[in-house]
Amino acid sequence: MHGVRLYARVVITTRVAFAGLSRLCEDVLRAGLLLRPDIELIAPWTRLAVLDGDGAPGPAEILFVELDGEELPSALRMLLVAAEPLKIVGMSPDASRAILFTLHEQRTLMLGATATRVLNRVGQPA
Amino acid sequence: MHQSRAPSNTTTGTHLLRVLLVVDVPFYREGLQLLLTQEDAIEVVGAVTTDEARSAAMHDAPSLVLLDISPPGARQCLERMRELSPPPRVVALAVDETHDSVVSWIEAGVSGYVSKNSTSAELIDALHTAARGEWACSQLVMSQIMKRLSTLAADARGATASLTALTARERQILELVAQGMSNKRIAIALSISHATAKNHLHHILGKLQLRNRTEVAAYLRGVSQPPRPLLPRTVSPD
Repeated sequence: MHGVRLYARVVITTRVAFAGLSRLCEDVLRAGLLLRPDIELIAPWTRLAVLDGDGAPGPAEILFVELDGEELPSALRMLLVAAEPLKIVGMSPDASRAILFTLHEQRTLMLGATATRVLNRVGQPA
Repeated sequence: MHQSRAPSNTTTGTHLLRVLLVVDVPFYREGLQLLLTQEDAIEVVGAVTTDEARSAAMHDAPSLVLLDISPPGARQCLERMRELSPPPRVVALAVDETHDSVVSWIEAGVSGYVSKNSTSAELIDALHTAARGEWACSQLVMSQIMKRLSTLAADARGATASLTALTARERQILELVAQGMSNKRIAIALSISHATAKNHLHHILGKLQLRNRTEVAAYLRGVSQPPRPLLPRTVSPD
């Protein structure tokens, strides 16, 4: 079809937001998002749809936070309860480790993670 | 993974800043490579770990190294960089901006100090600043350097003030102590009794708040040979 351009419509599979990450860590993740048009960045994080609690189905929503240690602070645990199915990814301060938290499980997402790999993992369908 | 590239020129004629990234954590190594390669004026000649840094620097001859100082091997890596001829400028990339870390790495010879709490824009600005031969750091780091310099200056002023509290005779004896003379030899040299020499030294120690003649010698070296290092050499950031 000469003279006609077809654009593939990108379907947003995941929405991510950042809260309390170091600024460089956030910039690295933002750069990684350029390679993943199917992942949408929501800012500020309080605008994540899951926080509205309407329960409407939609893309998975993931909040990235910086985490000292391997335990989620109680305030964020409460957020998981209140905003299910929200997922939280806790990045260690040196970004060498990422831990995925859901209401029912906690698992180390990646040791030696790169932004691309983390986003690939969180961008996978549940 | 070490990725080398041949030196290149831009068609715009701008001077390329050849940067080697030395970062052990893959997240930052690959992420920073992605960020910096988007900059027209920067060429990332390699992105390697501290173990690979020396060979990468020798192979790619970067004009500037961005070194993550978090890993235990970072200090040794910096020393290896400084052995190269010509040595590239090194900008430290740090998790924190604690006083000891900042001062210690400055003494070790870095040309800039950037925290991971800086934005990528600030990091890029710091790289260009360091490449121009200027010191690149945040306001917080600069204030810590200034605070340390201020403390050193106050120490030096205090030491000089203490010396002025001594009598002429005491200063004379102090000089002989600094030369390593015993009380007995000082007594002979000044034609005074051994007890008098000992008594003078006792007063000197009291006025200078020192414990023994070894500390007197160290004290005098400190007064007469500024500047001292910003931190004791034994302090390590690792």
